Amino acid sequence: MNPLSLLKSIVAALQGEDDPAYAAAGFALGAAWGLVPKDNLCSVLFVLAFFFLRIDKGMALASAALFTPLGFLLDGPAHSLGGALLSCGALHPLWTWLYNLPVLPLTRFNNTVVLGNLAIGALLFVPLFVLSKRGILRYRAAWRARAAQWRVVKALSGLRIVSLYLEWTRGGS
Amino acid sequence: MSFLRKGNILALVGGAVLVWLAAALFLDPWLRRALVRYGQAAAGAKVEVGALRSSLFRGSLSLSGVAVADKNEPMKNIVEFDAAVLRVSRRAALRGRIVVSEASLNGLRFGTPRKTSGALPRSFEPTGLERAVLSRLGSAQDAGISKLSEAKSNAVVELDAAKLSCLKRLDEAKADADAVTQRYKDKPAEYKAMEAELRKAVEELRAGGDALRKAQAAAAAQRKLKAMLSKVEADKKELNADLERIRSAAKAAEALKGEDLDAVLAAAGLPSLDSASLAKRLLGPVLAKRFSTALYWMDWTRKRLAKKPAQAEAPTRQRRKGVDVEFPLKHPYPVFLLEQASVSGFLEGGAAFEGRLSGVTSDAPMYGKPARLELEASSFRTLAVFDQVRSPGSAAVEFEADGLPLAGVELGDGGLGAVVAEGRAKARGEIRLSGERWDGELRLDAEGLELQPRGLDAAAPVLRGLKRFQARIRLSGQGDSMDLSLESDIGKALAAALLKQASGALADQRKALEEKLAVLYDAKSSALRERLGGLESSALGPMLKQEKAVQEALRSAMPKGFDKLFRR
Repeated sequence: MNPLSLLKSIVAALQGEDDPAYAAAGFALGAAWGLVPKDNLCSVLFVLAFFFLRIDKGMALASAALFTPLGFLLDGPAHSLGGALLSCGALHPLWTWLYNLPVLPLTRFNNTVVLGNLAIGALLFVPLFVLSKRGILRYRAAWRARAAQWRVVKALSGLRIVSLYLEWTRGGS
Repeated sequence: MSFLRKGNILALVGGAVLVWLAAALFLDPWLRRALVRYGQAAAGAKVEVGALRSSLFRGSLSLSGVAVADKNEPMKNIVEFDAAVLRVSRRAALRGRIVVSEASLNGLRFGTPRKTSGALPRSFEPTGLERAVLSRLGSAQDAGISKLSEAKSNAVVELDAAKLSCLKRLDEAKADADAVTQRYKDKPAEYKAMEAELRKAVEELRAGGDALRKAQAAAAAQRKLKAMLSKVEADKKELNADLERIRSAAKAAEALKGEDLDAVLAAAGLPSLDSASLAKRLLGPVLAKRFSTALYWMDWTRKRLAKKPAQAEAPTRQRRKGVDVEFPLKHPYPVFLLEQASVSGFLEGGAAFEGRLSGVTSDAPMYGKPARLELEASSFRTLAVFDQVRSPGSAAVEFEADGLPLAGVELGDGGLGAVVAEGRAKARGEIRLSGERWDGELRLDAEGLELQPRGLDAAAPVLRGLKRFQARIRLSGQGDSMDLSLESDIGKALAAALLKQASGALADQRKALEEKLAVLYDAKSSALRERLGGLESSALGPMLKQEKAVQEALRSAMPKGFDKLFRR
């Protein structure tokens, strides 16, 4: 997805009539993906989830872009949280079982930073979903009509030249 | 409202089908090409794979019509087999490991002829080990037979000591021994000072005091004594290496004696007819090729089975490292493991053999067992054990074979040689490799021979009449500097017969020369022996004494009950 179509997708999610739950789910899932380090199978699973789930991909990517730098800042607490989870005696049989499964160790769930960030992403999922859904509803009620008049929104929502450009880039890729 | 995109799931299924189709169409040819490429890099000669079939679902791989050419004899295959079937553990494969739980290798044959040359367009340089074998066994030795017809019984030969390489080598060894003696001249004084320190340390320990003080004194004394011991041990190691070097030089000088004699005789227009050189000329080339091939593959296998030392990580910028917490694995697998394989095939004479190959792995310490290959037939037995469980590892190959066909083997060269028309051999041998050191012996008893001589006419009757011979190769030492000797009665028989033809006067000339050389050689050799003996008694003796004294002091440097605390 190029930056222009990403912006268009976000504008469409905010300005359109689609259920805001799709955009909110995209935002929450994108945040979790943004937090997790990308050099493992876990990250690939997130991308597959975007592919299979009816969520707003533009919102998910925007959220991931927002939360990735935050993930770096959260590495310290994530390491502590992941370490605590991995060394928790009660969870030891679960980790051992997962570690012995084929393929799953490639997610690097046994890494303190990966597991810590995954846990933070999971903890944040519901609050982010609820908050972003409310935010979109509130935006639509208070701002949508006014924003629809903005040139940039008009351009991104439906200007012929932009649509042609987007079609061209899609065809070229 | 549904969060699932059914269309995308269908797209993924379609993608998976495409991947499966691509694997079905391209995986086998790719694996076959990779196998050939890797095999050729290892063998330095052509590797052919008739067919390869893999099944990802069943976890199996089958190969047929595999032939590996011999780089030293490109018209022959080192090994060839009809079919191999490997069962790969899918569970391990999903963890990125190749574990062959069961395999079979059928129709295995060695040394089979090829229709086309197995040489590669790009020639592979021989390894240091191969070069050592080829130069020591395979280099042509003239033995002066070209001068046989010009032999003059009245040739007057005087020895010029300055031109004899054996004497030069003895002089070098003696100079080396002198330098070593000089280097160790001050050691007795050093050890005397050390002895005084030793006594002081022991006395300090015997002084009274409470238990804590005693323990502290013992620990301090131990540290001092350990430093002394490591100094003495280092000196001893260095001296032993020096002595070994001087002894090797003396041994080399002894071996050069024969060559010097040959050179002097050749210069005087007399054939040397040295039996060792004749044996080397006849048997050297053929034995060198096979021996170097065998040692190359033994070394290659040992190196592949040795666990690679962990490589230092590339200095990459890792911002999000964290800590990987390891959990116990129920089935820890090495990267590669062949648990066991049954092997069957045919010997050169056509006799069938059977055997077993087991424990071939990339991580022997993890697997905990050595790799073994056992092959057995009524007239053949071989056992190869590659033990890399503990570093530096070892390898041993023992074999026994009766009735090896010799027909077609070419002995010697165009100048002096023969083609074996008929004959069989009994071969027995053992080759060991401990760390980097090789040791071994190979005995060959050939009988029922029918030779078709070529080259030198004078040798033809002897070779035609030869019905049996024995040969023995001994090897010891490391890589490039390995000592290899070939002894055989074939040279003696040939030398005796040729000498008879070249008249008895030639034998007298040779004997006279040998005596002259012996006088010169013995004088220098005994001087070197004396110097070596002196070094052993004046330097090594005190060192051993000192080592014992420090060890003794180290033992007494522990108050009763503290010995467990300060164990070495």
